[in-house]
Amino acid sequence: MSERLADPDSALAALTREVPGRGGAFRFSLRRLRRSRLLHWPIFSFGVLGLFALAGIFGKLAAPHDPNEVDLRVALKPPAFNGGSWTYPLGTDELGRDILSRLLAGAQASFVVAMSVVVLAGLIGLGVALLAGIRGGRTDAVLTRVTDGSIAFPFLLLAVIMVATFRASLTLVVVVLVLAGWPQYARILRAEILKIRTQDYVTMSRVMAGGNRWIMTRHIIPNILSTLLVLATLQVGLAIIAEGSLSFLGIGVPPPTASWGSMLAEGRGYLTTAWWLPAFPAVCLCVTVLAANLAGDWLRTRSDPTMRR
Amino acid sequence: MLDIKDLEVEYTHGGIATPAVRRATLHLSKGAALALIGESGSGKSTLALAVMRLIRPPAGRIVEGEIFLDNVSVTAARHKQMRSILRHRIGFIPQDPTTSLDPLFTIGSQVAEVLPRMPRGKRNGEIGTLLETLGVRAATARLRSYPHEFSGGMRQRVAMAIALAKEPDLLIADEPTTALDVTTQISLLRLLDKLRVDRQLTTLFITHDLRVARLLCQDVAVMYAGLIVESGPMRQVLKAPSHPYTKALLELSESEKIPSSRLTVIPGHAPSPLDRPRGCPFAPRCSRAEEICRTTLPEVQTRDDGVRYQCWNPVTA
Repeated sequence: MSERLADPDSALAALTREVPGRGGAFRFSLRRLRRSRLLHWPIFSFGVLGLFALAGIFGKLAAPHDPNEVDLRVALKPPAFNGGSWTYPLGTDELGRDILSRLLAGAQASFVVAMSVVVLAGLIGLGVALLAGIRGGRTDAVLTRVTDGSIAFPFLLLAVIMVATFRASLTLVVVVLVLAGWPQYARILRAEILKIRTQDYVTMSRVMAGGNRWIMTRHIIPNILSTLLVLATLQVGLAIIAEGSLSFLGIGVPPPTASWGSMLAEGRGYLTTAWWLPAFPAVCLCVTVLAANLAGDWLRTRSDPTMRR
Repeated sequence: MLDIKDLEVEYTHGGIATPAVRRATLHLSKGAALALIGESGSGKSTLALAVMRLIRPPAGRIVEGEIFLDNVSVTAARHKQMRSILRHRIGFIPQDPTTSLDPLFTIGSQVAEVLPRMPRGKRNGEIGTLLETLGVRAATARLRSYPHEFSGGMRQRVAMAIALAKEPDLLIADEPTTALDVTTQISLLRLLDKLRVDRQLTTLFITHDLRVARLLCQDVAVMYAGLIVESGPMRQVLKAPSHPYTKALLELSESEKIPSSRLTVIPGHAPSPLDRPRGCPFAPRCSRAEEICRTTLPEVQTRDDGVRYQCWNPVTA
């Protein structure tokens, strides 16, 4: 060992010889892949989110069984790779319902909730922020207080009150989550708008006779768009989790409609005897939320022109 | 060209009105450059914003007085008329090159915004030429660059291009070189001076640096606590200032020339806009102050050589 080190030439020769000998082609291709544009795209998160969207839209058509079909004769069958049969690829629950079909149906609930919450809460938040940030004065003061008040109101209490007042349904879940979600957008976007409004390019735009509407569409909205996008993507994850939590607590999507949260709640008791009941919805939740967060992160980097390459 | 008469501007915050500019009277003739000098918070930027009528409720308002641009009243102009004035007649160069350009749009598109509609090729040519005259090298090739790819000095040149592209009659420059290093400052100031002569550009130059003002301007107006304490031709004011504050400023810039001398300062500090003395705002710091200075705001006096000052006990009358 020490002899080799003493002779740098032979050490170098050994090194250079080793490179093509031991999988040089692999190393080369890896470098190429890294350099190519492909890896700049978050394949994992976009792939998962794409699958989630597909499952959310077409899941019910692709499901091998009716997700709500009860058949006690086949209750608690294990997944195919764990000694079960391919009739129920991911096994069945305590009522003999196909887990895969229920996961797909649950994806639909999550997808519908996530999308409507993100779009509605985002629009309301954006509208409030624009009104407060551009009008200023008393409008701003009132809207900011309302926003702060809404953020301070406990989300679960709001959900319980709403469910107690109205009947639990998918729509109600969306309403609750929108009510809880918009203030986040409003608060962050308003701060952003106030910052942009004092930038010199806005003053210059005013000297170019830009009216409020022009400044809003040309400068303010484009400049807060990246923040809005990032917030929205993160909100996808939050909304999925929130829907899961509500359904887990039994105040979300009403049974027997499948939802990842309610599947988790029902399967909780079988953790030691039939692990597939809680495991699969849990994995679905985790992976989807992780993917949404990673995608949000990537979007943030991407939408900043100083980071763009 | 630009006439400001008895202008009063105030800011409102939380229902409390704070006077920012008081009884300001100024005159700028065509093709002349006037330096508006004062410390931070003396109201010089506010005055400039008021000329562009960018002080609007709820942030603040023009309480009194009139501003004329070639005998057109800016203060009385209707909304549409004001937009046309802003669009065609006033160019504005802001102070901070880091925020003067929208980070999301290319240099070319931001300058193009000011120009009238024309074919793209012609427009890009025009923008390129304009930027070249402002000292941006290889400008045509860099029109598609984003602001963050430019240095501070270059960005300020682009901001100047935006201000100048509409060929304004009045250029308002709010400390355009303060954020830049000294060599860049000098070259930009030379450029502004050349442009002023070439285009007969009336310039309102806001600065707190007397040396910069001397280099560029024929007229000067000194502001203190919202008041124009002295104004007139630069040479006369520098030779024999009337107001003790102007004199103190001049002495400061003289003492800067001696290396490693003690830093001289005017004792005390500028009064807060919320708590201004009843009389002359400079009285608490003034060595020549008399009883009347503390109780009554001095009238505007005019000297034979055209210098106007507001002081009860002037250095030169």
